[in-house]
Amino acid sequence: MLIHIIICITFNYNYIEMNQKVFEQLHSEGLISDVSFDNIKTKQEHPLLSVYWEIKTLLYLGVLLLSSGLGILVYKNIDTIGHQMILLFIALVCGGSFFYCFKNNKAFSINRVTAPNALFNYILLLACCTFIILIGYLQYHYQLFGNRYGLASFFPMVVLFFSAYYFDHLGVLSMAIVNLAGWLGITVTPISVLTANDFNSSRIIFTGLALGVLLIVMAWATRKRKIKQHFELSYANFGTHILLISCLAAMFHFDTVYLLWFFLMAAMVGYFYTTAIADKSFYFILIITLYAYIGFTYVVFDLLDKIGGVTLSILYMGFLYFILSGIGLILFLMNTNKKIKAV
Amino acid sequence: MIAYSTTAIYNLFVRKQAAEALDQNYLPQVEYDAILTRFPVDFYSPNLFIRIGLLILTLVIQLFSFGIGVLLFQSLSDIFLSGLAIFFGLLVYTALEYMVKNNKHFRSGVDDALLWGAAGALFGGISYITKAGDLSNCILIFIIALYGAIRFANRLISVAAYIALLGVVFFGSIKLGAPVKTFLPFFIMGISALIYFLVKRLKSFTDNHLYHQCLSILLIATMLGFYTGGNYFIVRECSNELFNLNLAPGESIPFGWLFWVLTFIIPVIYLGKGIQQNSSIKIRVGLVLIAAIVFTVRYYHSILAIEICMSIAGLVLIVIAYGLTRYLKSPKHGFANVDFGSKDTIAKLQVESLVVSSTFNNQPADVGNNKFGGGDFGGGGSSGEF
Repeated sequence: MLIHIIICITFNYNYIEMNQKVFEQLHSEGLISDVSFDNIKTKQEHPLLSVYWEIKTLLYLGVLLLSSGLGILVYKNIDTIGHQMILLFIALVCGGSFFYCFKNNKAFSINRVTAPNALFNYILLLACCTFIILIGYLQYHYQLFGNRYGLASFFPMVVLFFSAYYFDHLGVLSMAIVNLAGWLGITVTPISVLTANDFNSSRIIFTGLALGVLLIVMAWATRKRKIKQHFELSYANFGTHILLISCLAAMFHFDTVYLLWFFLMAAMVGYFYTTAIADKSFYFILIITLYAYIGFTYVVFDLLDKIGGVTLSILYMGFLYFILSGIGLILFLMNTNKKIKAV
Repeated sequence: MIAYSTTAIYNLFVRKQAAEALDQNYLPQVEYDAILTRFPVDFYSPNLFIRIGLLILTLVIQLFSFGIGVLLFQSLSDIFLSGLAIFFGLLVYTALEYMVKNNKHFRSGVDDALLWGAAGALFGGISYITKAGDLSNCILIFIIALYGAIRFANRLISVAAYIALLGVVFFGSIKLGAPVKTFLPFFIMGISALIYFLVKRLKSFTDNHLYHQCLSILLIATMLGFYTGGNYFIVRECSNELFNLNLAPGESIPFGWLFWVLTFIIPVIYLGKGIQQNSSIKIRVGLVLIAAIVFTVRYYHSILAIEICMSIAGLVLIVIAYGLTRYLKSPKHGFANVDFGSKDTIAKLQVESLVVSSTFNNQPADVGNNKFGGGDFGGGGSSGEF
């Protein structure tokens, strides 16, 4: 929640107030025409402040507070209200929200569709959240799907994917991907991907690898088939993180053959590097660099360990490694920055 | 005074102004391009993500360079090691000046990291040698940070200078004894207000573009600091600690009502002023502090159960947001509800979608048949390296 606000504020640095003097100078130098100058002058006399992001944040907080408040309310009063009433209420909120979305949705298209209004995205979010709660509730209390727990997470996942594509909502798509991972048995929310998974289990590692590959393929297919192309980044982002984290985990876990995993990872990083350069994506350059650095450092330290164990000279070499590799990576990043800007 | 080339900073400022005008369709692309050629900027300022990478790596390099120094001289006394830290700080500072002068680094991550490194090492070394107490530590930080803020116009360092100044006031008045201590909240508020108005004056000077961002951040920091000084929760808990009041739960402090009034009135004033003056800074700070009111009240009085509170608040927020959206369909009173920065809307949307997935999806994964152990990442030697 807090992160969201911070991101909103930092990403919308619209503290740039237009400065009269600057434009006077530009005008006197003949760099801007009389028309533009008059426009800007009138603008400054009637300043217009956009509260777009403030309203968005309020809405977001509202949806978050309402849905979690209701969740706790239900949890605490389960004995007094009666399950049916609660279920009815959640179902009403969910159904109402979905009804609103279906009614106001623009025609489906495989291209990007902008929301009909600012509220729409949040109502859809509310609909999806309440739907997950509803299914979870039904399963928990009435064993809707019996012992087939997989089905209990599979069903919401399908609905989420459908909503994401049908209503064109990136947030819901992320929820769907998280649900997909949950259905496979791993937690992939950005904050808890490292804490909630036990990467010492080979099952988790292989599931992670498979999921990562699947998501990367989805990203690729999204672009290739031109179906909702703006979804590509969400798939690629989740896919890259899951794949590389699983690779690192595999290196640490299967430590007898870790070099094999390292080379696999290097190959993947190489692939991601070429796509990132082609897409001019600084973000992917940064993350793959950091993952590769962790993997490479592991290899170097393992070799140092094999050479001499923990002695003072090895310690010196370790420290030197960090300094030299740091300088090397800085040069690499600066070079890549130049390369991407030149493309 | 400032380390970076002043013409380049001015040119950057003009470019940003022009970009803003371009974004809002007040300027045709041709004129914008002409402005770009007339105002060249030769700074090295890479993309934000590259900057983050450079920042992390520069910090790593500094840490391990200092580590090697410590390893080399580990047998020597502590005093010598703090001397080493000071020497290291000066060395880093020289590197910083060099990078800025010769390689034209400007907010590239490298200069940020070197500035923090130099400031940190100098502070650590001097503080250790002189065995400084709380007050002198704060004075030391203030001096170093003030120098850093003036010379490098760094936002974080300027906020550090302000916080250090608050620390000076805080520890200074504690040193002066009981009668002075009583007025501590008012000192904090007074100094914050003073700096706020000083910064406002500075911002209105002609060459404000040099420190534009620092001053904006300082305005936010002083507004928050002013509220911190008057907030009931902070005043009560701090005086409980400082004066050993041993307040029982539910017991109030002397003049408690005054701080309750301040707790409520300051955010409302910020918000009101922000709406009146069309100031986004004040509106945003005001909104954040409204949440602070709620938390302060709820800490002492459980009026409603938390979940009912949350539900009602959520509903109210949605209604307010909906009402504002309706109201601002066409711009009114200088306010509008349009996404000005639509150029990078896609980037924002992506960020937002990631945050959505981490806040709305807190249910654990379908555990199936595997046990979830602790959060250990990797086995063997993973922890030692990174």
